[in-house]
Amino acid sequence: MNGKFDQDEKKVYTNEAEEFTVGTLDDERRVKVLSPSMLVLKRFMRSKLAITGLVILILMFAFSFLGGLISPYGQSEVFKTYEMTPTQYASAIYNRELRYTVKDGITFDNAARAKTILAVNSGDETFTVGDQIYQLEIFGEDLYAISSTMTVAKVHVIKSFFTYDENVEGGIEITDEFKAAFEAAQQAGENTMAYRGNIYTIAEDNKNYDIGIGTRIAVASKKIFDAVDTADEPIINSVDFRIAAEVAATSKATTFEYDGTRYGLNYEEGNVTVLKDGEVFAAISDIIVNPAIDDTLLSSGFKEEARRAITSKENSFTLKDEAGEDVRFTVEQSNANYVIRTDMPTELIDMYSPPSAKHWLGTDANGMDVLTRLMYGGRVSLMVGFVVVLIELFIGVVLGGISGYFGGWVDTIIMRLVDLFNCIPQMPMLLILVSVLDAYKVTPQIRIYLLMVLLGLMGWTGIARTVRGQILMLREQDFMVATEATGIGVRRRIFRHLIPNVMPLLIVNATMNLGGIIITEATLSFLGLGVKYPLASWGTIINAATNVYVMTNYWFIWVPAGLLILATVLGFNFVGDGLRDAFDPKMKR
Amino acid sequence: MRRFLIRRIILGIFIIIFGSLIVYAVVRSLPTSYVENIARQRSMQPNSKSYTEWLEQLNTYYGMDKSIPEGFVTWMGQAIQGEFGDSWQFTVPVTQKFSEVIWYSVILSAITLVIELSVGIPLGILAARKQYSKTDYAVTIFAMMGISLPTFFLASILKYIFAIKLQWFDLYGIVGRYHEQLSEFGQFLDIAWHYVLPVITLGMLSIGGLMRYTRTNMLEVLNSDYIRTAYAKGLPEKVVINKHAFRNTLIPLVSYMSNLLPSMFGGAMITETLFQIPGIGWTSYQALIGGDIPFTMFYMTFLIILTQISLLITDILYAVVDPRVRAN
Repeated sequence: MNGKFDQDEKKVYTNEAEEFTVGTLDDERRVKVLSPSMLVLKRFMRSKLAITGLVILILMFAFSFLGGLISPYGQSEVFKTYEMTPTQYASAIYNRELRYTVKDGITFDNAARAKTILAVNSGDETFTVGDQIYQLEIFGEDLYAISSTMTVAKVHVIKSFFTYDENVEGGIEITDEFKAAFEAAQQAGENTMAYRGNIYTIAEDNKNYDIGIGTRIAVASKKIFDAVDTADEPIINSVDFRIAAEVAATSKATTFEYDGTRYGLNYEEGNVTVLKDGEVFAAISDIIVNPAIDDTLLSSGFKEEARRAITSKENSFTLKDEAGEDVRFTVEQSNANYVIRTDMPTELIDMYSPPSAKHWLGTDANGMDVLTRLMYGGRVSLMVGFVVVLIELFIGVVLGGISGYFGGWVDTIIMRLVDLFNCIPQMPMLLILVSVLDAYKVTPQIRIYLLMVLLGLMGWTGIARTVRGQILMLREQDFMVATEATGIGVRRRIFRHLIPNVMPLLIVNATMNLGGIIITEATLSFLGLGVKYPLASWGTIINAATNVYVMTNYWFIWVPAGLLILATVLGFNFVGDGLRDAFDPKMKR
Repeated sequence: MRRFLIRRIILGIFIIIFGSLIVYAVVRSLPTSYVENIARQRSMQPNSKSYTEWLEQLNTYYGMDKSIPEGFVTWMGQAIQGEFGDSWQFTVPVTQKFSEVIWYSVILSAITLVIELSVGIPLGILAARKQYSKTDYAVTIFAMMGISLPTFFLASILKYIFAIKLQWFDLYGIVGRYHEQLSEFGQFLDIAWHYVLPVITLGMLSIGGLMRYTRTNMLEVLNSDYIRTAYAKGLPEKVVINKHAFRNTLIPLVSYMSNLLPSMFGGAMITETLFQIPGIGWTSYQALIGGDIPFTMFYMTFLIILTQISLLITDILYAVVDPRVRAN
């Protein structure tokens, strides 16, 4: 017998047909023995669709969980772009009203300015504001100097004793010559006196004499002075310089003198420039040019060009900037105003930029990288799927297990509960529940967790039924009777003998459920009721397609997300199918 | 059988009551912005009561001042008499709004169902007969795609291709721009044209499931002994498939059809919303989102009742088609 077996041994492995005719049944070499899990794996690997599904899932997981690490961008990183946009740079207007240049340290308020205009219009030479008297000097059309009497000394006269008050603010030094001049005038009863070439006024009020002198305190003019060098502004804005320059300009004089310096005047095309030592010192014009942007100083060159363009009615002018490059400015008239625009780099959010090397799938409405958001969105979608399935499994296995194992009234109650949950339509109920979340203004982070719980609560009934059915079936089987007969404890019976037999079906159900949960979550998010900004899930990203404009023009935002959902759900379904066939080859179909 | 049916009906009634109680409890936790709005509007009118007085009165009127169980009992009492109140969102009686919109949904589901059955069942049988062939794989993958595609994505893609790129259909709505000027037949065609994309969407999604289900059942039947017997007798394949196998595949299909009623009358919420078909699905979506308590309660209870009725019908049908069930 032995010898014969030895001879046939080779045949066992070369000719399968003879395998059955030889060898003993318990011979190990007769069949290759595989553990149950290895058998499942082997059968699983044989299914093409299951392998396809597995590959898809691995890719999706890598994309979502590793992609976020590899991607150089953050989940809610907003991208900016610079674009040359016509920006208002300056504005200009023809000056049509009197502008006042006031001496330092003197208040010439709005009431005084209003009175000035009244006086100008009525041709009065003096006007009073409060108890202050002002004199108006007319130098020409639209050029007025305003003077007021300033007290330089106070004298109290009793009989022929003169008491000089030496502490007058802004007063002059009281010399003997001054006293002599005053006493002479006082005795003569005059109300003016001459002293060192100036005429002083004397006002009497009950033996108190105020000696004053008329001083120009302000200039009212329609001309605008622009200094070339801002350091010269104090000179240019001084009352006397203004009067000297404007008087000279109105009379078309070529030079004038101020404070011992000779200034030249140059006239061209309605623009008047003041020269000092042959250099341009200031410009006199009717046009005010103001910067439109804060913290910008307009150069005198720019102002000059702008004025020239406005007076010659040109629409644009070009000017060299600091880097020596030509910058084009456009001039546009709106009513009395002239708006000067130029192209300036403006920071914009990079919205809906098309796919490029920098953003492979472009950017979305918030200027965020679509590809990166898809990666992080995938995390949320997959995490929601897994957590919800775990919740469903937990509730389903516990309730289904109790129901199936103990039976009786416990079973009845649990099964009626399952019926109750089953009869409530899932999608409408979820919509109401998330509306409640909306109403209570839950933060996006907590919302995700609540969403998971709600989805889990709405979906455990199927698993509970499966578990109960399986346990009812297994309970009647011989091996369970055997465990009972051998006196194994309840806990061990459940966990060592029942659960492992329920597991295969549970795994299949859970895998298939995952796809459904991902779709449900995506649907809620698509309707704007699921995962909320700034967090994203794939559904949230497709939500952009609810806007027809986005749907039409920016396919790259919403189509990839949809394809990812499709691929992932397909993967779960393929794998679930493959697992079911692998676990139970009898059911294979 | 009769005892079973009576028990089933009593259970169904309990489930309807408790189901709507759950829905009522959830709906009541929504903020009642509608009541506040109305109260504010009325208090603005000249010689009117103050806002708080109006709010109190309206809350009493709508039963919002009662506790949830009390309010539910009141609602239930009125609902049994067919009084579902006025919809807050649409400002007409709930039942009136319902009868206005329901037929749009029924037509949509009916057309979809006809297409689903006439495509899904034959393809499923074909796939089962030629198991592991290329046809089988193609059908399986197509079915899987149908199951895995989210409704909103399919609808968006269809809209993108056919409404935006090809411009064959309108993006939204049930009637075209010149609907009023068309003849009666033209108006009918216009509406039919607007149904095309929604029907394709719903059809593509439901065909997959039905196909798989038919295939699975058909395979089970084909592997059974009586089919082998039929072949062994020398019956032609046509007879075996159509007479012996197909009839027996219908039994499990009965349970697949168990949610026929709810889907028929409950409307396709997402599809209708995306295509703005003014059916019960879109209407109820607006009501659910807008916190319209009377309409929501009506719609949800309606769905729960439909589910229970269709479960009952399924049980009866099982007894009709399968003598074994009758015996037990």
